[in-house]
Amino acid sequence: MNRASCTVADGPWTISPDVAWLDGEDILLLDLRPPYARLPWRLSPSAAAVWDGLASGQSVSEIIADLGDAAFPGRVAADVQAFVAELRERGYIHPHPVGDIG
Amino acid sequence: MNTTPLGLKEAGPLAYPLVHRVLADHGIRALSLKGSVAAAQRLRPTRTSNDVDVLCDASAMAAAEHLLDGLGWFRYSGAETDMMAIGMHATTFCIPGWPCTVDVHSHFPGLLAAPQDAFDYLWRRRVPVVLAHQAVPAPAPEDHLMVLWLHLLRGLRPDQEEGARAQFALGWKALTPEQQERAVASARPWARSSRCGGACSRSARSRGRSTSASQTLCIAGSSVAAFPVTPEWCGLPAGRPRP
Repeated sequence: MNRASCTVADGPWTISPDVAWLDGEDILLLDLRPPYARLPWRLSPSAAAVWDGLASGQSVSEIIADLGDAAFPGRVAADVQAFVAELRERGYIHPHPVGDIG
Repeated sequence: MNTTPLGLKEAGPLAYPLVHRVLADHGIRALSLKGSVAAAQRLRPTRTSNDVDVLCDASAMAAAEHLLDGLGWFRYSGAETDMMAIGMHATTFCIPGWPCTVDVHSHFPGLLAAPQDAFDYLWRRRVPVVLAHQAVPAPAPEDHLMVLWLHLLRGLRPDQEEGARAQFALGWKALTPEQQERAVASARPWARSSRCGGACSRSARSRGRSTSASQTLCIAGSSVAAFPVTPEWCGLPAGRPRP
């Protein structure tokens, strides 16, 4: 994950209906939108952990807390923020609708 | 980015949603069949398949082929080609970069009903099956089992019959009693099997009502299911399926 300096909304986030994703030994994401030519994106273990957290409804801060590294507390937060920003940029996640229950 | 190649085990569950999305986005109805779909419906064990299968609306088959051609999905005719299918009622495509192929069927061998009638019948009774967190339309389990059974019986060798019987029985047990009843009802008007036609035996069996003959669904002389006899089943009728 790129450790770009960025901050995203805490969430929770909703997985886009345009993304198929497989959770087995690895997590693979597949963009179902035109031109239908993208290959599945195989996530690294750390990225998969973030995706798992988002898919289960965790906020970004909760994910960071779960993945927290006491030795390098800022690094994990930066990596998670950058990855979530990338997912949002790609349209793979959307902010959870306000007031939507469940 | 991880560059590990996409494996066959991963490709199937992802390819079904992709194919469904491509066709649906262009107004083409298609049902996902066999493979991961059948496994999700517990009609067969989970196993790695080389291909994914869809049954396309017969009236839209040419449009589907044209669409997939235009996406750069190239037609495949190689060693793994199902020669009984290709050119007769299905077209195989390769998606660039994917290890599996996509078989787009306009009809399924063994179905007596006209392709459009068979598709419309299955489509009306369709159910969603979730693969890779995406719902794809599939035949109802009882209909899907019959389609799988017909596929099994194509070119079945004697040494394969026991395995086929076991596979059918596995799927049959996965159905609820209500689904089993519907499977029998749907098999009568539009499905047939030359093996079943040749091997069916009549046995008198009470079903708790007045004595009525029942037909034993046989594969190579071994019964796997029983249901009330009807002249239509014995006569292997052709034509339109019953609603």
